[in-house]
Amino acid sequence: MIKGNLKLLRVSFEIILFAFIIFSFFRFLPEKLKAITLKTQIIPLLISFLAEGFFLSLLLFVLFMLLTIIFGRIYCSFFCPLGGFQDILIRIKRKTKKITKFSYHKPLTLLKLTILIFAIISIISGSLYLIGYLDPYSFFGRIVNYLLKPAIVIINNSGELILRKANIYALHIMTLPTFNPLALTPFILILGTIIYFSLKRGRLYCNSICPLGTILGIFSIRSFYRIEIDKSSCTSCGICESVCKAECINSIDKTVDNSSCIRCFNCLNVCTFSAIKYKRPIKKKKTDNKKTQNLSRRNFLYSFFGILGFSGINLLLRNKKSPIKPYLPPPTPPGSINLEEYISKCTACYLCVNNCPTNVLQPSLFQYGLKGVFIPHMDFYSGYCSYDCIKCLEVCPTDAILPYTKEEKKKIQIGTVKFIKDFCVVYRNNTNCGACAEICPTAAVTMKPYKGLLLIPTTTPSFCIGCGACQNVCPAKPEKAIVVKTNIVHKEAKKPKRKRATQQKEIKEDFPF
Amino acid sequence: MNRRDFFKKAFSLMAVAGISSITKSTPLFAAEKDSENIKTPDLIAVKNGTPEKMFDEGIKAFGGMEKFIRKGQTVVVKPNIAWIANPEGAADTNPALVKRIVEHCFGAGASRVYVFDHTCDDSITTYRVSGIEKAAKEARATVVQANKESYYQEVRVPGAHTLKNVKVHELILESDVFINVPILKHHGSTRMTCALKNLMGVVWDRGYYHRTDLERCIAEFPLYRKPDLTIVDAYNILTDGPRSRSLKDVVRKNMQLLSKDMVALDVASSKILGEEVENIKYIKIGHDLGIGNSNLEELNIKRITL
Repeated sequence: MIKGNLKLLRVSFEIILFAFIIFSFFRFLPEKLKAITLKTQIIPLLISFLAEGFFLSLLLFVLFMLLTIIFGRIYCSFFCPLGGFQDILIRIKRKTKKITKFSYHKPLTLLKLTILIFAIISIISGSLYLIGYLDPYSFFGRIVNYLLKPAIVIINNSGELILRKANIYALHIMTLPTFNPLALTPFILILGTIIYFSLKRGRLYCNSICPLGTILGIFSIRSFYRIEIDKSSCTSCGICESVCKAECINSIDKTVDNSSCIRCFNCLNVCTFSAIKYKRPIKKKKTDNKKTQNLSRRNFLYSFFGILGFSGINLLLRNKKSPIKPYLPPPTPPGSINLEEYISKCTACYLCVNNCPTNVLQPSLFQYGLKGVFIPHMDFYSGYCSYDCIKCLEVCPTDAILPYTKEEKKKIQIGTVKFIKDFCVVYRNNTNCGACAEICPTAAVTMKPYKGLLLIPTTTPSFCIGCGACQNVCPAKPEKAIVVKTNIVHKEAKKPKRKRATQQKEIKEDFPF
Repeated sequence: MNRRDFFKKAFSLMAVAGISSITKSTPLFAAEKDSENIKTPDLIAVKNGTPEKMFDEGIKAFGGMEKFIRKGQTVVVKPNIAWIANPEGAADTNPALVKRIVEHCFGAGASRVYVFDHTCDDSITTYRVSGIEKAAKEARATVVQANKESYYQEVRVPGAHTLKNVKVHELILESDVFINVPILKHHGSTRMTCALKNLMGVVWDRGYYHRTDLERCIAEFPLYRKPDLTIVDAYNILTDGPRSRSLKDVVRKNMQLLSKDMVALDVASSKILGEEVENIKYIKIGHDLGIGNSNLEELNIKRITL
């Protein structure tokens, strides 16, 4: 048996990690620390390993599984930010209402397994989308992006305005994330479910919908350390049952469903008789254990048809995707290699969107088709990819955007420049402009003599990295005169040959006037 | 607005009175000045020193920062902080120079000194990488962002033909003294960016400039407000700009120019850069609009070699 105040340990760990994960979405932390913080999230580790074969990801994933086998679902109470979010809601409810009592409910095995099997089938068929969308960390990322960030932006910007009136320029104005009603609908539906469940039934979401919860639940049915009730000293008073957020303690039968137990340790401190303990169980008769695994034949058949149905849907999606798209989708971030790989690995947690300093990364709708719905795309109308910036590459927890170095990133060509002379200010108005050439970081756009003193843009697409700066600043209206054409598969840009240094350095010349 | 105008007028009257009293003053007063020019020079050119040292000497030749700032006034210093580049890249004004200017402002009794620029790259990163944020803060200046439209207010540009209205950073409207600190660079489309071009960093909609006769807009902006002093940083100059793409394009010129006349500064700067004055269209437009004088022969230039 493990001694000490386990609840206190759990709560402190949970709060600290929760804070770090939230900070990862803002400018407070260095990118390296953000990357380390997010190495605690199981689904991103799994995707990173499955898709990229990264050994570190595998190692950490195996470590988490071992921890689960030894201690049970500690991820759910110690590491999961969505769990932390629900715990906050439960706590708020406890503070506002005098009594919040939970009571034992039978596990929803059927529902759990169906969703899990759907998720697994979708992984096998090459799409990590379902597991990505329901991944608790990624979902929490969306909560930060759609709820927390706007709240912080509004508070910050009104504070900034007040301070500025008093000539204090301590705060920076922040940009509100973009909202799209279509993208918000499934988000609000699931968020509503989570909030409703957590206020009514504690951590029911974790024990019904969350596919990760189900996987970890299977691993923790027979974990080395379990919550056990000492039948001789228990009086069935029900106090432990009333504080159990997972609703897995049956105080009448004096049993605990260890596959549903999220190891929050709330029950340990409340028992007057110390009858409930976290310990290695004493070997018991087999009949006791059998009870928890109630995958009946009916469940099996149900799941089987579920799989068939889902594979059908998947096949349909595949067939729809295969014909060549009539339009080019927007470029994917540098480091994502190609559209197909990017779509298959991104879980739309929006960590990159929130870390992007220029707001070029925006949640998409159907720009990447049905399979890539909601994942971030490069929007050159809202910003451009900063040449020296590798923030999204550094933070991406699933390695959908791979962590190339700054020098490598500067050569990744995500698209190429296309100049449309007919729309250009110089051609139309006969006045100088050159906004595109001035902002181009690679000399893919330069100015050449045109008429008289006028200069007009000229492009060398092989130098172009597709950062979109020219498209972003081009002042031509209504149509941009310079745009980026997407490379579905990223290429390597050529470096322009530099002229020799114009003059020797350090010259003591006289004033030329 | 009215009060500021009043102060400005009163101040310039006082300055004129001061100068005229010097010119007709006794030989004893003139003997104290070692230079042959008793009149304040129109343009001061300094060379062969660090940016700080050259500024110390240059501003001394003008009679000190006190000539421009009275006690308790607010000052806005506008360097070029357009691009994410180290100081060696010479895409942004030298941070040590900005720091020294701020120190002189406080030395002259300024109540507050603001430093800002409307950056082209991401603002927070550019401020940091350029080294200007740190340098200005070390000298107790208030570093202000300019990356959001809400900092800007629309003003009318009197006598303008193309740039009739423009959204200007609120600090340009509010501050008593306006100091322009460009870095001299080659520029891809206007051929040179220096004194006049640097003022594009105090307006919000640069797309309008680019769309609607860039050079004319640049030349017309000072019809709204001229800086009280412009200091051209020609210590390191970029010969293929405005963005710093290679250190090979940086040439050390070891020079600095100071003047109230931006047109004269741009003419002198074009010669340092080696660009034909006729190719830089905004210089001629500025001269014709009366923003300044492009005929250097008509000006009293003081040359200082350290």
